[in-house]
Amino acid sequence: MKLGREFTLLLVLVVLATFVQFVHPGFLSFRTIHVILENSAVMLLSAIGTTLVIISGQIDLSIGSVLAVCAITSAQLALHNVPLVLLFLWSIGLGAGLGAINGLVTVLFKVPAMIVTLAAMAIWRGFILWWTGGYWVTDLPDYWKALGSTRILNFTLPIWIAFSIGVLMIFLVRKIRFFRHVYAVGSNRKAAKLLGISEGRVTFLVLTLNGALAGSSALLSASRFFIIPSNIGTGLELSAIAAVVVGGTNIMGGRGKIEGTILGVLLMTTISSSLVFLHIESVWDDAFKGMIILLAIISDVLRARRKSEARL
Amino acid sequence: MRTFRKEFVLLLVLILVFVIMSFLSKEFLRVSNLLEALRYAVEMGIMAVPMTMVIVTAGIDLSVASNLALSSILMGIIWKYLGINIWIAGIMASILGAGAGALNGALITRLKIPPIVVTLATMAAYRGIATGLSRGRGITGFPESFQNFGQGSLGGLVPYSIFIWIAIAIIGHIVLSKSKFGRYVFAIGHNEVGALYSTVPVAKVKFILYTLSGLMAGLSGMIYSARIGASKSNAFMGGELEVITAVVLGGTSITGGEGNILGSTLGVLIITFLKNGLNLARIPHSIQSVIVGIVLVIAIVSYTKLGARAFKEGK
Repeated sequence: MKLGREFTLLLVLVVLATFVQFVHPGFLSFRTIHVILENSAVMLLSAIGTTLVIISGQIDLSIGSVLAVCAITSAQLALHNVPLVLLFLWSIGLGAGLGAINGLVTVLFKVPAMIVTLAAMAIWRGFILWWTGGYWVTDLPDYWKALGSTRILNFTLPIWIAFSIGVLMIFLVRKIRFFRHVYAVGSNRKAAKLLGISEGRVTFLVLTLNGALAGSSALLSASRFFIIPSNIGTGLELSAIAAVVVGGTNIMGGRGKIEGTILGVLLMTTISSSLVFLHIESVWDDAFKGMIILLAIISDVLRARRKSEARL
Repeated sequence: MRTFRKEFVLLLVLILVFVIMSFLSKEFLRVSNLLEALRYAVEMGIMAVPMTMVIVTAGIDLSVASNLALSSILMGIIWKYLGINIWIAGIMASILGAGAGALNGALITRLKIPPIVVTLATMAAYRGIATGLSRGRGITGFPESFQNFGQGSLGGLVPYSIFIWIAIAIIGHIVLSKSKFGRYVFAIGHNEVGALYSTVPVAKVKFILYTLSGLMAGLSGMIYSARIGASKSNAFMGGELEVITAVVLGGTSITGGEGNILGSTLGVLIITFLKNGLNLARIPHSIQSVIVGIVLVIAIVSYTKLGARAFKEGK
């Protein structure tokens, strides 16, 4: 029973893939699977950051805009042939900085992170639209795209990077004491305080980490293209929250697993690809996304209720 | 006494906006410009009324802008494909908006899911359904009389839709500050468990509030469509942020228990004239969204500071 949620997710994934393969043979080709993994890689790091934020009892709506600021400024640096290593440092550092601003305002003024990041979402998106004048960044050098297209053992670099960090995080979350504190603050603030855990420190660090992960997602997602539009990352926060909630993390905090989120991300991107294969127009994508979040939350609540009733 | 002070400060801020904007653009202070600017504030102003009550109960409704878009599209579809009179279609769409709000209310009160989470999900779902139904295209060609309702003005000066806003704001103000229902709203915001034990019908009040929020979003969808002359699935994109900003700016505490419609209305006016002035001064839209975001942060931060100080003084 320990693997309950993850097992259900795997089962849904397999059933869905089999169904689409049955209706439309050719779905389960290497090419489709690679596309699904690539789309997952772009989302995975942000979803992991969002998992930790939600476990700590907060919500971060700004990651899509943070990703845009990081991706576009990095691409502009790449136009000046700044080496890739420095681009990574810049993007991750900038993301962490923007996340730290969210964290500082949230902690110093004791307001919900969700309201602060709602404002940050508008501010950074507006900033980047002004900065680019709405124009795309084009004519990127070859080494930019090399990051996104270099293949090792048939899989592109972003897939390797994202999934290895993902697997690493599964273990880090279990081993490092700080992450225990994230769970503690999310499940019971007062008890955590009595144990000497600083809620402010946890909130600040989790939001900073989420910014840094959005910054690293920025390069993984942007390096797949030669053109970076200024609306890149729009709606990322919702996709990430959807994947996290589908992955079994309790939206009210205190409970959740990285492995669940990884499966949640895979399931969401598989659903998107399935919609294409089932000839459902892409205009319905967001409706499906919203309804899946809703269904996941409702099923979670009903399950929790049944559990507590069973205990009685 | 403190609420009086807050509104006084807001009035000063509004005057400050007027002074700055009149320096930025000579057009700004013309009566025709000011009244025309109000036309664009009607939807925000109407939705800010139930939003204020929702936030007073320590809730939030992030789905209003998506609900507006969905109602706008539904009105267009009912009119164009079912051949029903546009006014009746508008009323039907507003009722469907109320239904969408009731769904929020039911999930919040029945399943006890936090409002932030429910309305975040329905924000995505309602906008998504609107996009899907419209196939990403708008519906246009409404009858002249309907468009005139959104675009015309009484005596060529005062936009018709403003009267609806004024009526709703006054009714909302009376309900929140004078009625039993209003007292229930504050009781829930101050202490929900306490309210429940004092026989306040907490679930019922909350359900009504989210339904009202949906109804006003639907009505705003109708007004928006008449003003633009089209049903659009991307209508009022990101508008929930502006409505919430106006309410919080107006002095409603984001943690509940405090707030009033007059403050929210002043908040709407400040944002509206700020944006109008920036428009006239040819400041790009992207910078306007930055400014609205910053105003929201400053409002939250300064009110939490004010609240903390008053709390200390009270002790």
